[in-house]
Amino acid sequence: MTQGALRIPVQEALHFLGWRGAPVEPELEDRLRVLCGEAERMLEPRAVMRTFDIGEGGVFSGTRFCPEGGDVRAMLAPCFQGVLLATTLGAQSERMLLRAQARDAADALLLDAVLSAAIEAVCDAQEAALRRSLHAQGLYLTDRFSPGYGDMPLAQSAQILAVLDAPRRIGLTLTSSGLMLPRKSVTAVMGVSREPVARRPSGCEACSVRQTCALRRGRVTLHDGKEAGESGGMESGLEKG
Amino acid sequence: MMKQQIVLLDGAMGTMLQRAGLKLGDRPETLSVTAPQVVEDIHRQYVEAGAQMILANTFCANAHKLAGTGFAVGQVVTASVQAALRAAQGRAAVALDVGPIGEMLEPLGTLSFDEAYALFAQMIRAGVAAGAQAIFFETFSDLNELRAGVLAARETCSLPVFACMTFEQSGRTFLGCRADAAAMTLSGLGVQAVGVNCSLGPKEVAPILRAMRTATDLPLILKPNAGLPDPQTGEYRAQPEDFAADCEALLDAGAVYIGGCCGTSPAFIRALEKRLAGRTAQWQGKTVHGICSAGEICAFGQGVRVIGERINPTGKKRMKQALLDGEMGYLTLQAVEQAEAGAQILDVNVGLPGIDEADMMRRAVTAISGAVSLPLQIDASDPVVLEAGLRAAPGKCLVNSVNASRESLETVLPLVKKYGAAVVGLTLSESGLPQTAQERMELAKTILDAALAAGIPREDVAIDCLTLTVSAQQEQARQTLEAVRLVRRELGLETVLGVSNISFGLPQRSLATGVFLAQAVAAGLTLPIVNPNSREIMDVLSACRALSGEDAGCAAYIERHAAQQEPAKANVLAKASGEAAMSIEEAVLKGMKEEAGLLARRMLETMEPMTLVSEHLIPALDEVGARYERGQIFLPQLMNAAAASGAAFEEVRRATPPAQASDEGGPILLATVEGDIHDIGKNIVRAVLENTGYRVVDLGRDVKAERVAEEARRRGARIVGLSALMTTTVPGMERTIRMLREAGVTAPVIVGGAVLTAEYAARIGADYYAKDAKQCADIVRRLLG
Repeated sequence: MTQGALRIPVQEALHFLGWRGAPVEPELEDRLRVLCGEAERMLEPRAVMRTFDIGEGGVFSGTRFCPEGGDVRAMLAPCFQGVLLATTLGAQSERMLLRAQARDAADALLLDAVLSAAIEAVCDAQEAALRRSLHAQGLYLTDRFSPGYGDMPLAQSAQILAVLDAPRRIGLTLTSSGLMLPRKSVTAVMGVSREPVARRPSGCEACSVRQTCALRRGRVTLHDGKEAGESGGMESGLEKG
Repeated sequence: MMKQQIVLLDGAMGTMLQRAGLKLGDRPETLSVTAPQVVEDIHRQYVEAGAQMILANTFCANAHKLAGTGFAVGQVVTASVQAALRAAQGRAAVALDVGPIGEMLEPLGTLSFDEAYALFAQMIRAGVAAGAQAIFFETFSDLNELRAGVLAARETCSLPVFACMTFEQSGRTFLGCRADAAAMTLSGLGVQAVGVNCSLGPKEVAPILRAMRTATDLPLILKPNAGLPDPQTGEYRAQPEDFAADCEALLDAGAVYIGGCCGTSPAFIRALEKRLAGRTAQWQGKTVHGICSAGEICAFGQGVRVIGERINPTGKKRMKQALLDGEMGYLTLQAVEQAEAGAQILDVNVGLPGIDEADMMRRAVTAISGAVSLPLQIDASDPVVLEAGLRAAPGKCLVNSVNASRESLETVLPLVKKYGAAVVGLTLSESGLPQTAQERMELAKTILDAALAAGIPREDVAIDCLTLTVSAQQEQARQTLEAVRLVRRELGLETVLGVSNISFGLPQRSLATGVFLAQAVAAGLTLPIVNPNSREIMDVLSACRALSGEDAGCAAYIERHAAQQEPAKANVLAKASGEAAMSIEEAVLKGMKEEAGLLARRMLETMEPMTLVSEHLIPALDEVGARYERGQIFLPQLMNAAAASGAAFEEVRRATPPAQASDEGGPILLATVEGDIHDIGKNIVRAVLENTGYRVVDLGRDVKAERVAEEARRRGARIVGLSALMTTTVPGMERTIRMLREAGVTAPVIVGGAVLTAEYAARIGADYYAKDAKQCADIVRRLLG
């Protein structure tokens, strides 16, 4: 499945660079705008999503997939259906990063932030569309929960990819060291309920780069708290895990 | 007109197994062992429906996909092939079905071409031993992965090989491979047929299959899905009758091997049988020839095609250093710049004494093909190096070069044939370079005849009549031009010239080179090897194309010069002197590289180098660091500031007498550890270190522990910096540190990466942990001064 037009908010890219609301040099913002535009033109994000009835013991029907970890199970407790989602920015995103890095390491870092914002935007769009269509049927959708959040094992990504046939459907693969490739990719679980479900506050816990986010380790919270702290990590690229 | 009788293939296996109760996400191949009857029964249904060739249930039976299932490759492949043979009972041929490994290959991924090759070879050996009668590759997105498979099949057995890829509606695969480029590349590798499977329904696949047709004479494979799946349920809804009718419409494109993929069933094969049994497909041969990468075709015979010459160490100090350091980033940058400047083919020459040229060629070709999608010209004299490049390159390459000597013809042409490449023939022989055009023409004939005899088609032979330096052998310029004219007129072959050679030793080189280029193009030169970054050269070519009519309506010429009329960029020097208020500190803080360099140069006219460093540059960098720590600026700005200070340091180095320059000692070695490809953080560290005056050798990403240890030892590294981003790749870091110590490397090891902590770093044996590039630079400064 390919997506509609991709829109990458410049502010989100700034967040991924460690922006905490202070005034930004116009040159930086201009450059980010250009990179967002390039990414919007060049990328073909892809997503695959399927809904399953939740059977005995929490197993998704027709599969052997059963979300592990207290947090995700609590989220799915009121749900009768589970949704699996896999998204990727595609191989083109890897090529863009390779080119940028050959050219200018600083610019590559900006591009990396832009691409992180892009994959978030892709996930948000998928989630929003599903939420709308469920809402029309009087159903409710939980938050998006990715392997690696809370106590859900990162290794469950592999199962989600297999169930969704993601390598064939959207070209999303896993290396033997457990890395998703293209890097700018996300796997997630959501739940469908007949009753309204409590949404978790947005913030680090709901962010799919949580697992590898250097900012979070430096106690910077991007989306709500804007807690002050130091940004860092030798690899501060906020890659997808 | 070519023709061949239709051969019916089978339909989906996975879809049928799911109907029989297979769970989503389970490996269907293991059922051949656990429930062979179910698999055999599905095969039998396809044979009875009319399939003349069936694919064994081995799609993902490779060691990577079977890891952790408790099943071995040989076991699954044997059981699968046997189940198919039992069902076929001689009524249909049985092919070993081979799908993608499921991991991305280098350069985008971490799986090497050789590892992929070994995984395929293992399956193929098992398949052949079990009695498979053909090898059928399908559902590939990565042309290079498929090439690895096809080569493994061709080198492991003599069974016919079929090769299919899966495309999106855009006509490209997920990895950007074009259908015509796939057909062009695979045809050269000696396959029986190429084609399309999976992808879409037969209607949507039609333009993709027709695109393949333009670039191959081979029969085509058509094995599409049962239409498009329902986005919600994933169900396919095409009817067998419509499916068969849509397939029939592709007989004129040369669809010969026809079957179905996802969502198809025996009913679809029965419908195909009813409509197509005994029919014959007829088709016109290819209309395009030339060379290609996975993503681009460079068609010959349609005008001038520019070969970029910059990836070649001859006379280039920086390139030599990059090759000695194995620094693929610099080669990649050269590739990107040439591509943007208008090169259509990139020459890759890594010949340098003291390096493993074959390994370097493999690495260079791999790295370059990740960042740019231009076809490559593999440039080497040693056949071993040529083969390393040909093996690694995703596409159909041009080989530079063979000459008319017997030894060269006998060693190079078989490689060209094996890899389906095109070749440049130099008009040289054992007795050297002939002085006259006519003699060169004779040698061109010799080369062409030998190529034809080796099975290389005429259109894949180009001739280089050799450019000599006009300042040394003046009369030879005319002979070269005349030879080009003769080769074009008498043999009709493409012609190559290393144009820049003409002007060695002359002033105003680009003028002489440009005029010679224009004359050579007029004489019939089609593949000039030039420096595409030279605006004068590309201006000449643009004018040549307008004058020859290749540039229809002179559109490209007009556009090129419209763009060049934009106001020239203000002269930096003038700007800097006009704004006398800017200090060097300010230039560094704002990351203004050129300004910082110019200001440093001016200050050094009246100031001691050390004063500039200690009283201006270091304080400026400290301020940058402080602002960064306070969150006033971000990493990219920190890096730009470092780059600006780097420009100033460069001036300092230039102004410092060599005796005073600090004794460098070994370099700082950096690497992202094995299994990890996240290298942004490492690149930042590198930029900061280099710009503060340290010599850094960057080994790249996904670097094997053994290689880090070996390079550290060999180069006498003073510090080793390692980066790993993922929890899953930190063990690779630990192993690397262990290997370093085992190799006797005592240099301090600094580690960093998002999931690391100081405690963890200590536990895996690192000497220092750096949370970011700034801290890393501080540690380095403390250690080395």
